[in-house]
Amino acid sequence: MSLRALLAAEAYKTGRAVRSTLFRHRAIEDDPIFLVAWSNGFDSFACTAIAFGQGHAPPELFVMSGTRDRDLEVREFAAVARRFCELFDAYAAASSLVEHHGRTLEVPVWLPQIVIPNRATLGLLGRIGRRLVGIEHPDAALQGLLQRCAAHLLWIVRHADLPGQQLVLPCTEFLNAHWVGAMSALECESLFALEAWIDPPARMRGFEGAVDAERFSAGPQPKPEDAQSIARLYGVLESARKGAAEEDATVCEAQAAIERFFSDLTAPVWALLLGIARRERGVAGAAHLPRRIERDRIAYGLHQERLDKMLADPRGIRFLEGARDAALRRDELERAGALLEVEEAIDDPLKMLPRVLAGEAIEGQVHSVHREKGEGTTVELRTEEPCTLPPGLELWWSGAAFGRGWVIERIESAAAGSKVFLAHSLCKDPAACPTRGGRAVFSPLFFDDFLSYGLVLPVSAPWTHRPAA
Amino acid sequence: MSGDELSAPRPAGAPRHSLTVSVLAAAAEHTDCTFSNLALAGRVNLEQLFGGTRYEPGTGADPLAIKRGRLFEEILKKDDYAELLNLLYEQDAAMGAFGADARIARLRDIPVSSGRSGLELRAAATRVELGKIARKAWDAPTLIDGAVIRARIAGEIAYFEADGLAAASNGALHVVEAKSFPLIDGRCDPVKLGAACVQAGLYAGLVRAQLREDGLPGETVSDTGFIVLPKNTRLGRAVLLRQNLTFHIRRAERLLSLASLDVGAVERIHDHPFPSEKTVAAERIDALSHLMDQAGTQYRPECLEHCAAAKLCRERAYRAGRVALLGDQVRRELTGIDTLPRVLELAGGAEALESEQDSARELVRARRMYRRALKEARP
Repeated sequence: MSLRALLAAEAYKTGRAVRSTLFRHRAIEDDPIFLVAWSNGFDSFACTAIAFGQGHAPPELFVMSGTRDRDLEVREFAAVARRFCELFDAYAAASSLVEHHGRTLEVPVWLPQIVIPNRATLGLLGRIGRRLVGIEHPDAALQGLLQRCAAHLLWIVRHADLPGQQLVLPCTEFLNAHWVGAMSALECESLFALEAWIDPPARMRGFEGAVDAERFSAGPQPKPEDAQSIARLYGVLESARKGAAEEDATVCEAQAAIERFFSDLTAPVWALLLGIARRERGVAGAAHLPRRIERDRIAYGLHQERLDKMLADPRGIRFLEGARDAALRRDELERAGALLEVEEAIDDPLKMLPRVLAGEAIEGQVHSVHREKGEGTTVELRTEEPCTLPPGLELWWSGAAFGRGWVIERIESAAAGSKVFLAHSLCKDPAACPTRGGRAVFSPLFFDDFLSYGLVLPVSAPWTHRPAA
Repeated sequence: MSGDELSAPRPAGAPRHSLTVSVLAAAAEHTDCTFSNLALAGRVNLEQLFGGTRYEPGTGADPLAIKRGRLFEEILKKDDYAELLNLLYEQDAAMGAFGADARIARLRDIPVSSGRSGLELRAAATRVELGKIARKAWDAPTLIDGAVIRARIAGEIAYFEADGLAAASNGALHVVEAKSFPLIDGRCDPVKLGAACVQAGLYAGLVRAQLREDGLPGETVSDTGFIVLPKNTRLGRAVLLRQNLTFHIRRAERLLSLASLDVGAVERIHDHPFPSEKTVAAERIDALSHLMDQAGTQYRPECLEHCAAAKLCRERAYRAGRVALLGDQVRRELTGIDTLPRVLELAGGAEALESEQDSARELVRARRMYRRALKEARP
């Protein structure tokens, strides 16, 4: 039984979404970069407009004119690239030094965070990055700028795959991880609908608010009606361009109409993103957030450090160099995923709860703690329901989930629940031991920095199937 | 009375549409919904019927998409179908199937004769060409362009136009579906590809039914369909994707047999037919809602992607507090429980029916632990 089903029923009754966590598990910076991007509705590969900026100022909107003049198109991309690089590189200006793998690394003081509506926007950013990589222009400065922006975008998209990263914050994912409404997974993809469940408009219940909010799109795909308007506006621009220069009044008027349209389309999304960030920032952050912020700052520092070298490489922008890098990347993603799972469950009892409900972890009151010289420590845990875990199983106390775990020695039945006796042979530090009379959770989750297999690969890939010379 | 002999009651005012493969593809997504089956059988245009109401489905073809689709089709057919035939020949390495001498049956060029519609004539010609392919005749075509397949859906004849049917020299027939969304670096929009496969599966199902009707082996139609897409965002070059359609064909055959058309439901709603689109919006919705009560619906959140009636169904599910509102995964977790208020009742310790007992036990546990976690978190 998932906790989500119960919370959804609760949300149905109250008419508003219910928080599914006690803490906020992602950082939200004080003044992050907000970004909204639009495709033209049909071709998801085409970026038609992009708006970004920091919350303290109105967004800067860049609209592609859909021109067939390649030079003009490059100039349009360059305007986006220039402003984006200014914003994103600015974080490197205020830096501090940290120790990283035995060397000193310059990292930004503030987390360079980008708040976007959803993961689909991230996909569009990746496609813009790839488009910029493919542009070749004789002006070296312009070409350099486009390549720099492409490298940033492609790195951002790559980094966003890392579980627990906070450099990119897709709002739908964030809200779905922290709230439950009486809606399906499909409906949860709509940021406006999700927000309507969390904070329904006056005199409306979540459902009615969400149905009403489905009129809006948070991008990148506009609503079908809007896509039709976009097609019509670009049709007008195309007709105006026939035999006319770009500076002609009719062309400018048609372009202005398109810009107005995208500005109107962006305004509610922008306000929504700002509102979500403001509200959620007020929730207490989880205990392990600082570690993940530090990891993101280091990742940004490393990216900036490698950037010039990467841009000078005649082979172009690349993040993976063969099978070895692919294997290491896979390992990095899996480790980050496992670590995130442990951190969130240890930090937040509501994140641990699904494990207890599934019978993978046990929760109860610590009835006694016995420390015997030379024989370790034994804890007697009284659970409210029968323990179904087998004796001999190793579990970790959520208060100190590292090193060796506690082994279930024996289980005795007691009233409706069980008496579970857990032993730890090395527990000398009282802080690493639950206290008598308190409640404790023992689960299979632990920080395995020292115990697990570390992936060590030779520098050159051992490729056995070499073609005959 | 079989499904073929049935047709749902409809007044003259109820908006109708002709059956296209996209209508069938949408219906294939919810064959378990009696209301939807009745609308399909009655050719009722639900989109039009919900028009002007607050349940109006947010659909509409993007003119850019239509333009792009037409351009891509023109490119494929340019120079005597050179691009499309090249793609088919490229399959040789994998299948050893398409010979070098192509014979194209151009059925779009058939002139309309008196008394018979173009579709009727093309359907007859398609039948002849399909027969040649199934019998491996020497003059069997390599490609049928503009094939039309005739099928009887719930008592009425419908004609379906396929993008193309490609015949291999080994006698296998492949459905060819051309779409204009791009394939970039070997990747394309999975949702659109899925929809293309559903359509191709339906064509394959229709052709199989046609062949069987003519006493020919339905298995002539291969389970492998060809989806043709533009390579990259520019339309200049095309690429062919081979797709296994087994699942889609099976589902299409089930839909085409209309086995799920509930005869009892037709009788029940005989006095409550689909309303006219001219009826006032509120009355129209009342009538449709009443019809849904009589016939029965099977709302799932996925219906929102395919069915024009889904928004009304969703609201009805919400008003009734149906667990189905939350999707299949949650519904499976709450086995035996129909409504969300009941979930809370059982979580609060209400007496459970036999069918609810397993879920109820877990709900009580979840609620107790959740409350304790909240209590302990608050100092």
